[in-house]
Amino acid sequence: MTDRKPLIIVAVVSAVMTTILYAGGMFYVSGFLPPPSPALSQLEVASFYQQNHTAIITGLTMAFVGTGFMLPLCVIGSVFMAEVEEGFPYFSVMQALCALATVIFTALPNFIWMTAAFRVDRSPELINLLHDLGWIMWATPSWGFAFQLICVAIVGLKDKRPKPFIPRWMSYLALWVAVGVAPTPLVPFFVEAGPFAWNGLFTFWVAFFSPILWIAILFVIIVINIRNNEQDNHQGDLAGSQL
Amino acid sequence: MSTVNVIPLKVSGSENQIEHHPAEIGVWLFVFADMCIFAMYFGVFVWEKKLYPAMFEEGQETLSTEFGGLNTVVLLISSFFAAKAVHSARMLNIDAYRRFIKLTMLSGLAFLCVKFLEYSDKFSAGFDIATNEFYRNYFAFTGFHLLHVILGLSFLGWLLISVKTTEQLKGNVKASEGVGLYWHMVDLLWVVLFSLIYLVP
Amino acid sequence: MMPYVIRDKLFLVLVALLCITLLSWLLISSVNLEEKSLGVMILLLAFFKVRLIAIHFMETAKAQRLVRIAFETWGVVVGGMIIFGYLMG
Repeated sequence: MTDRKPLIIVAVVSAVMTTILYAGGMFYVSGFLPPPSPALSQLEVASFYQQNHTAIITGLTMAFVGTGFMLPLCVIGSVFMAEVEEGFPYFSVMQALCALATVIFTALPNFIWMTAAFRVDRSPELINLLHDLGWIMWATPSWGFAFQLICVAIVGLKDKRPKPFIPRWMSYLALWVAVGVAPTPLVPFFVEAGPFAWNGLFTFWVAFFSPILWIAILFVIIVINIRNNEQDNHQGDLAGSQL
Repeated sequence: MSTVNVIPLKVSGSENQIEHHPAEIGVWLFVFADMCIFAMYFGVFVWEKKLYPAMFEEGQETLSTEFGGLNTVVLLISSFFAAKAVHSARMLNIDAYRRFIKLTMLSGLAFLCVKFLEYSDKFSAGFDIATNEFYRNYFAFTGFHLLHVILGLSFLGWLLISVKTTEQLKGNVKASEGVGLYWHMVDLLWVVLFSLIYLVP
Repeated sequence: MMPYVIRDKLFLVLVALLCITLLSWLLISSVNLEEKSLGVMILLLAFFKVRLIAIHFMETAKAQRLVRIAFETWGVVVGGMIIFGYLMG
């Protein structure tokens, strides 16, 4: 059995790095999040890119570096999951592969927006095209993350040990998050702002923050678990079962 | 927490004496969280109805209360069958259990058929999700509910495949309660959706 | 057979639910009321049905206390929100 302590330390460090770099880059430095309305006019979009040239490129660079740190975090999740599965750890591998898809689809739009900001004298139509391409690519694909959560939930529900790697109710909550991100394929239908546009209530606010809520709860449980189990280091599971 | 505690319940006339919490707390959490997302759907619908009263009135007139009402009845009946299935699971009556699971699935499939007719009716009349705010809400909300029905049907199908003997039923009483609970939620949400979208003038 | 069916609580709940559905149907098709009060009545009936389903089918009555409280609160808050929004509109 692998030593768990370094894994948990790496997981916590990656989570912190992702949060700081992604949230800092997207919300604070570049101002991409919360998303702009899809109904903005061409000139408004173009002037946003032309006036914030440096800030946009800096923020987007921070953000794509931050998404890279999601990979160690998710692979460590798979390490804990693989101990539950018998034979070939299908769901653990699936979870890690889907994590790669999530990272790619989260990071790739950053390069498209960077291209839009790259030449300040680019014509507004082209800036607008790249802007739309980036947002549709960023907001629409939720399946990678949904499959990750479904894999975590299936393994979590299979885990019959006295100390499962996550509490059972977290598995059900993971399924809820997977359902919560399900409406995002509706994004490309709506050019006007509304609940299903890319800045909408269900396709951005619920679909973006419910996974974050789940991960935040996971880390709260990990911290509580580490505090409770400081002395006994046998089977220090990812999130433990005290809760 | 991780072990599934099955309490074989004695048939003792009244069910009220059973000291037993139905379904796992995690399933309740899932159901409640999902109902909160639907609560936001209802909120959005009411809000936009206030913003565009004429469009919503016009849109509602094109909806078919016959199809909607039929689906309400179908889902209520299927919910009753699901409740009976859970009841038989507790009695460890495998024959009745499988019969009621099949009946529940049959009503669920009937719901899908009616929905298919209703949607193709709307599509052939030239309405789709991008037509206007009313149809966006109508298709998105009922479509998301439809996704829940399909999910529920696959859970029921999984129960039907994996529970064939009394022995297997013993290990799946909690799971059946969970699926039943989910199915009742689907029914409950449809009741509100139907009244809100189809009926309220 | 018949007495068994009548004693079956779940069946009675189903009959009640179907009757309420029929009642809201009749209310809609025979409009002799003002629009707003008709709408409020249908919504109240719908949330009464929700409560019946929650208590008897989902068995919130037998579940943990917190579950019961959460579901009753959901009914009151969501029902209140919809009816309030409807009356405002």
